[in-house]
Amino acid sequence: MARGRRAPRMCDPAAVFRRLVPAPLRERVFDPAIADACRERRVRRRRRRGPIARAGAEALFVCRVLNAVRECRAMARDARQPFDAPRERPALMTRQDFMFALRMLRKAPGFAAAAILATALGIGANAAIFTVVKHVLLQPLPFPDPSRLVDVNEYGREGRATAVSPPNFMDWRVQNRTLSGISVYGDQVLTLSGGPEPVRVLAGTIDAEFLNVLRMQPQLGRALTVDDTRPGARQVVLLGHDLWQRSYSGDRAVVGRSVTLEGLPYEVVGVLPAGFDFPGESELWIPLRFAPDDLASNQRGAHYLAAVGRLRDGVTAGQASADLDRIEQELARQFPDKIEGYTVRAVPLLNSMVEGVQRPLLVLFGAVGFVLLIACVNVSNLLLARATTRTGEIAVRSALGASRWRLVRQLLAESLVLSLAGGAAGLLLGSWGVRALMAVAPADLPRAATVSMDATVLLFSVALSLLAGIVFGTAPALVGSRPDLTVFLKDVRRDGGSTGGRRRVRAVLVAAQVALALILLAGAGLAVRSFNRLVHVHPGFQAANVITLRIALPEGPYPTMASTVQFYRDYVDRIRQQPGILAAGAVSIAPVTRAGFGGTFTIYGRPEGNDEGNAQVRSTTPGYLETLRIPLRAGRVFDGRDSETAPRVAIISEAAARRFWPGENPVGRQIRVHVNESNRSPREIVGVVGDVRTRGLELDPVPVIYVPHPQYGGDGMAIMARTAGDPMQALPQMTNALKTLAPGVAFSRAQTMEDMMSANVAEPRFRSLLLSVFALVSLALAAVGLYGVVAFSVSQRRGELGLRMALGAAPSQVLRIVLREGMTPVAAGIAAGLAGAAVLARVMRSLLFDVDPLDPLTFAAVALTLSVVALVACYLPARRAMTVDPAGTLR
Amino acid sequence: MSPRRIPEITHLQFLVLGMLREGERPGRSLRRALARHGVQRTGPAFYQMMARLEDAGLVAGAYDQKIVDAQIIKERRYALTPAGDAAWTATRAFYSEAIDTYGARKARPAHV
Repeated sequence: MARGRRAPRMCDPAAVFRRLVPAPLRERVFDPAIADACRERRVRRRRRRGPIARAGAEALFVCRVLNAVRECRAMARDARQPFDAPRERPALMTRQDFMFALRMLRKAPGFAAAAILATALGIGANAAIFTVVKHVLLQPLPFPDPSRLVDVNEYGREGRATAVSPPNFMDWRVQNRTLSGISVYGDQVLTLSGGPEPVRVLAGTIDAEFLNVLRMQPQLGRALTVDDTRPGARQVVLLGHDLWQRSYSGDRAVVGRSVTLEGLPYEVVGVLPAGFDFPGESELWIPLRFAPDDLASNQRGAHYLAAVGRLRDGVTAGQASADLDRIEQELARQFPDKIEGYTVRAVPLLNSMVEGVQRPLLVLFGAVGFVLLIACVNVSNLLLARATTRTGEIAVRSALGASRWRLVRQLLAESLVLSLAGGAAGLLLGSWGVRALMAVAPADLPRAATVSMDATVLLFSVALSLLAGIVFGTAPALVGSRPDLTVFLKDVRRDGGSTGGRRRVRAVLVAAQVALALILLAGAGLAVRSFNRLVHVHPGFQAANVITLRIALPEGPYPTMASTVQFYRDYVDRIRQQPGILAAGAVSIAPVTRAGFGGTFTIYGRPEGNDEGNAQVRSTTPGYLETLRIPLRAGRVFDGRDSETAPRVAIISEAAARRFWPGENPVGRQIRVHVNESNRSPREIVGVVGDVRTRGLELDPVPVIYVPHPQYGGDGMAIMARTAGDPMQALPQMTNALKTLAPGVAFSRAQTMEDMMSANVAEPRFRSLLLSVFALVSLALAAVGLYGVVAFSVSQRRGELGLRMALGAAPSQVLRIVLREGMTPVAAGIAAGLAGAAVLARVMRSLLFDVDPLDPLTFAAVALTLSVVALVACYLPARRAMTVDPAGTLR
Repeated sequence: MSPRRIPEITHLQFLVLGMLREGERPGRSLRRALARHGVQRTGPAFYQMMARLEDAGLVAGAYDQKIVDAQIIKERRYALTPAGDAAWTATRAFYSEAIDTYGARKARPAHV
């Protein structure tokens, strides 16, 4: 028997609640009581098996724990309180208030269900979006002291981030005074072989400082050293935890073993801890090595790396930016042709990672806030209407001596019960909502894998529910707790105590609801219109019936440019020979993928200072332009003539022709591309082709220079094939051809061009879809709320309407009266909503494509839609008003 | 000889101390034994009483942990201290003396 003075570890729920127990009572009062309860639970479980008995034992145990907590707290309170201490102030709300509220709501199940549903929709939408916002935008990065990490980037002359040039980075590293460390990194997809099938994995290429800057240590083995990053050093690799578990079964002896990457042996020197996958979703890390040429001065304009730094203590990101920019400006004076006009900025790493999704997510968060507000206004209106029907009860309670505060407290307790029940249902809806959101979220949403509901979301939802209860309960509680005894005593039946003040409050609430719904509808309308414009943009090629897959040749079996050129020539030829394939070709970067590769080029025959241009560069095989049906505007396309040894040629896009040869025929002119071939002979332009949206559908076409793959090379290419029928049917033929030709070569990203374009607009689609859903929910809530108010008003005014009809009013006049009363606040709401939408639409300006934030068509359409829906919501109860029997109401 | 002072322990504490004179026992067993005397106390209330006895130095409590059927069984066990034994003896003596002193008078038949 082991003895100890320390309290033993407790059953889990008890361990959580133990924190609520005052410290002096924990060890000798709470713990042994819970130990007894644990034993009791164990005995019960043993005696009676089965899920119901088990659940019963659990429930009893939880009750025992909660009671123990309550008792211990009471003991501590009694111990503190002397016998003659003054009585505690009465609680804000007592258990009795809540029990009474529950009884009252049980008497009106329809009303309770409607209020709970409305609240649940609002809370559920908020819980779902907050879950995404929290995990994507707010969760700190999983590194020690993450707030001091900054993303360092160079910004080009147009103010756009351009990535980092290696020689510039080396100068920042040596000269900066604000960073305790700075590291440069990139990523690339590599083929990992050795298993049954070669697999493509994302690899981080990192320098020796990378892990130090992030303050991460390998779980096994060692980090990279400066020696590992020297050119010619033996190849080493760090494995990610997941890859280590998946491919090596977590074998600790993997360190020191050899793995095959790109057909070459790499020694495993370490394993990084679980959860570490930076940059991107890297699964392994290899050293980033700079050849002397990479650091030469002529590479100062070559921007292709990312940099991360750690701020020294007490230094802000702004100060680091200023420090690094000072160095950059000094370099710009030395190398004006390369980086003049460039700036450097250091921004918090988290901000930089979520920059692209921050605004869309915040817009969605704002939208669900509106949905909740509309739901609150709706419930508020329902409560007001109900308070009117309870005038008698309130008057009697007041007459019996209940104070105003007592009545307010009671009515607020009812609101809180409703809001908490709505919150509980909302959490359920929210958990489904999160799953639905992640199903439609763009694939490149950062940190999407971590999104799930947790205790913070739970607390947020509970707090929001309480807030909603107070927001929608306060006005009805204040209005409802002021009983007008004279009205009540005069005649309850006639007007049910619905005074002018209450009608005005209801009208204001309806107007607010309509205004909020209109703002949301306008936002959704703009997003949908923008998305519609985007998907109808012509990309510059015909995407239908085209399949694409990506290949990156391993360096081992394909060490030379000649071998890669031969491979792609053979592979494209084989695909062309497959039945059902109409055309095939390959390009270094597929269009509309957001990836870019380019740089400056020299135009021959121009005076110095006016002889340089900047363009994207695409290496293509013959057949690529024809496969995508990119139209030829002048000259010719590439063909078999453009071999390795043939005269060097290029084709340019129309945008390049317009910008660099305005009013001239560029065919026959000579250029020299700097990227990758700065020392080679010039190329002759042999053709001009139509513009293609290379970087995304929303971005205008940029100048592109196409170069023949046999003359430019490239290990990684996107293979394109145009088919007669369903393009995905051609995939087995393409993969079989690859297996036959090069069994060790893996492919990735097999998809149709239409799917690729669809993925390109995934984020705007996600945004417009969600905004539309939220707008429709708000429209439905507003319509139901309006219907409820008008229907209630009609039922309250039956006597008055009957009297009017008895005095000669025609049914159509009664209809007009009711419609006027219903539509007046709607008109006010639409006016206020249009003004609000005009202000808030500006927030969306940067998210819209080819649509003005004040687009009159959108605003008119949403105002009209809302008016029609409101008219229908008013008309239905108004029609009932026409059927009032004058004689019956007068009796 | 002056009469004994009234004992500072309650009937319930007297009962518990008496039970512990037989030897060390777990709290759970004490609770069960008390229940047979009609004393139904919640876990926290019982253990608060035991904590007070510990504070007064009348009992000593310690956690006990053993493994039965691969499960950890934990409970707090109590043992009587010499002071506890003395308190129980003094209380018993008080009541004996009280019975001797006052019990006989009460036993007289009433005047008719």
